[in-house]
Amino acid sequence: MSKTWWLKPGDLNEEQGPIINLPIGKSYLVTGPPGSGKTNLVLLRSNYLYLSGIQNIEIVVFTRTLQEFIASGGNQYDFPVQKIKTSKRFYIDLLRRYGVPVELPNDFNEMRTYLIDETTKLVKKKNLADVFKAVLLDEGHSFLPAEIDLISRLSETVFIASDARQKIYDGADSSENMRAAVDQEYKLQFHHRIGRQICKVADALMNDSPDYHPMRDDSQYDEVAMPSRVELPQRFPSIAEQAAKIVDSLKSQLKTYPDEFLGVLCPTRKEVLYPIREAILASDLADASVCQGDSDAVEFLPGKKIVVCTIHASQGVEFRTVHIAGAEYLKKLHQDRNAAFTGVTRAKTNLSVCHTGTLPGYFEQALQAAQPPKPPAKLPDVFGGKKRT
Amino acid sequence: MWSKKVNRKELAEVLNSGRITSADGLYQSESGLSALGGWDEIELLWKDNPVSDSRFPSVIVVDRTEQRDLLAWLNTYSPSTRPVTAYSHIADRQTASVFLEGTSAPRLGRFEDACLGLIVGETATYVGGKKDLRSVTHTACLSTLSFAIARSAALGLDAKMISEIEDRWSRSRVLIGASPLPVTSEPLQAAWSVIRHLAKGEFKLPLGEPVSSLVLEACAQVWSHGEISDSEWQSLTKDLPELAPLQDELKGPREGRLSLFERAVSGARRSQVDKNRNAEFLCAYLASSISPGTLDHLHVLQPYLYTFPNLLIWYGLCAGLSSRDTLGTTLNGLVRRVKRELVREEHFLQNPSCDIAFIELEMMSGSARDWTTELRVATPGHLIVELLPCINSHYRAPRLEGANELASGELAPALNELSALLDRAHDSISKVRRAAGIVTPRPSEFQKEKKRKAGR
Repeated sequence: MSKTWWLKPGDLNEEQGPIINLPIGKSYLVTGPPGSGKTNLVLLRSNYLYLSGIQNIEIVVFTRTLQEFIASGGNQYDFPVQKIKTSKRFYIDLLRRYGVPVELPNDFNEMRTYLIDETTKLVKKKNLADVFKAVLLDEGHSFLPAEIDLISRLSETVFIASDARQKIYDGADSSENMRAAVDQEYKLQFHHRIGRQICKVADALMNDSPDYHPMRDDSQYDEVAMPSRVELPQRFPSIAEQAAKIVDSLKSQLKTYPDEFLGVLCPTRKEVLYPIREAILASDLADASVCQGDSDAVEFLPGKKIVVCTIHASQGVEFRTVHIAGAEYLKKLHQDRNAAFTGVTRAKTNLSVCHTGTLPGYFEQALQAAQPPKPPAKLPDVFGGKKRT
Repeated sequence: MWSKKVNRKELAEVLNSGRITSADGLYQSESGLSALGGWDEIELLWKDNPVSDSRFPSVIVVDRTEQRDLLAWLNTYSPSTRPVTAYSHIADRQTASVFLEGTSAPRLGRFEDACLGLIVGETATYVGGKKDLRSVTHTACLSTLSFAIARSAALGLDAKMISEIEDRWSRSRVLIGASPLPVTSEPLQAAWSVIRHLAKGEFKLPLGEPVSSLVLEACAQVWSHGEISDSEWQSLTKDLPELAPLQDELKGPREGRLSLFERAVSGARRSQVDKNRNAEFLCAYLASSISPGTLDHLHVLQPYLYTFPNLLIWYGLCAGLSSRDTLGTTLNGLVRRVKRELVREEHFLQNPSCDIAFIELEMMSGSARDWTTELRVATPGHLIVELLPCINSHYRAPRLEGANELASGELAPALNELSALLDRAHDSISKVRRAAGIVTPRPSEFQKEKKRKAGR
């Protein structure tokens, strides 16, 4: 049975437990590494507030995929899943409630700016404040500083979960604004979701930051019950052959982890997501798969255990196994090192990476961190002839 | 407890009226039973005073040799309470004493998960190949021999009574015309022999046991350490030498463990050791090691059931033996539901919860009348048979599908209503299509021709 969602107090560790029932009426910021339970805390805190009579309340997330993912867990609680919204839906609903016509631009960044500007104008014009009793933000690092200020004005209290290392969308860092918006900050140290082998890769990806605290030191993952593994990156002549290898692995993984979501993450749409999606939908895994289309959303459905989406769409989501396809296209992304970190840390137990072009050096090096150390090359091997593909 | 001695005529009066008419001879006792003198002496038991609280007797105590005759007599003279064992337990004095003394709540202690694993394994064996094993129902689990044995053990019954349960379970299947089972009872007896020996702490087997010492020792290790030792592994892989050096893969990632199981089962098929019990056990152990202490991988075994029909029984046992309170969380709560029934508190002095008891089923099926028309069952096509007091088994009985006419009578109007609703929905769709200008597909020439022919 999947252990994604916490259903009883015993599922929480010592640092997570007290956060759920912190005093109502104050604002909190919860920071912590991937797998420290931030999303679960957002959901349980909202359920706690809801059951305590705070019903004018919304959970706001940045991506549709995360909204669907939380909703898939939210069905198990009293909190109505309809109150889980993307920031886009949150702004549109608010503008319409006050009679502001909404004409969305097509471009993602333009639309984002438009919605923030229109909402800000509305707030100023109507002198709006405390429209909501509470707003809970997951993946707070994805929100712009202006959005944090706007949302904290619109709500009596806010509860924000965030991890600046997972910031992969454009825009200024909102960490200071989040701190200013809350009464108290809680730092989660431990995580229990991500296997140690995967932590090694994540830690190696972040070793360019002196403030980074290694995840491996604070892992409470049960490595005996479910040993983790990072496969050596595999290079294939084409994306089609990458897809064939991934399909083959997924067949075995579906049998091994029958109740778990399995992720295939793609850095870009055109070059990676579309051909991989086509190959998976043409295989006998089609019925077990859900693939991101042209929107940013993937629906999480009980019978569809294989999820194919972009790394950006996967933010906040977790999978038992992750295949990163077309990994050389990480270089095309803005904040690509953070994107690699986000992709890697979506995996709980198994990570594999496929590519056709050359991997970014930092990523290739990081993937080596989970392998046994290599002895220095022998001098005759240094001259002529390829030793590896 | 309240007690009263009666003769057959008086008993028929009590059953026909649903109450005792006179308190003469009624007395309250702690638990003692009266000595029964002759063939016409019967003792009735109630939990509470039957005068103030009119009830059928919970128990009819009568000599074992007289039970069948009494039931035949009651079927004749008290037809409104047929079958009488749906209302009252029938027991001889010795059996009644055992159940009256066993007052503690049913429990299986350290072997609870092993029993539950075996119950699910047996159920999956019966449905295997027919449907998705993960959709096994808890009612199907309650119909297994393992459930009946585990329930008996939970109630603290001795080996002789458990043996009687096994016998009655099989005979009930024959009496109700249940379809034949895909496996013999031998592997089940072997698996239960393992639990029995582990519970007694016996690891040396006397001759004639249905299980090998090697399998018993392996199960003991799985139970105590969660895995089997190096030397045990070497012994078990004797017929599959290619597996001998691979034990460490069981400590690696789960995908590797799945691959090891698939290699083992293919190897066993190739080398034709499929008739070898130890090889079958080894394959089941490997499958249970993919995710120890859970039943998450029933589906992985399904393709191999034709060659290894007992795989799921051993898989269930290994999963239960290696469980550290983890089994209950698997299969979407199925195991918890089965556990609820397994340890359900049901006092002997409560009226039964079955459709009929075995002894009466046996008596009725031996008569010339069609007994199936006289039974009122909770679910059409299903019969709950009490094998011994407080131990029920659920049977699928196709002969009883028409037994509950009331249910099908209620169904007909509902179906008519549903049909009318569908017609209305169809009309609405046509109207919307017309309004939206969507052309309704015309029937093809072939379909028209078919309609014409049908109309002729």
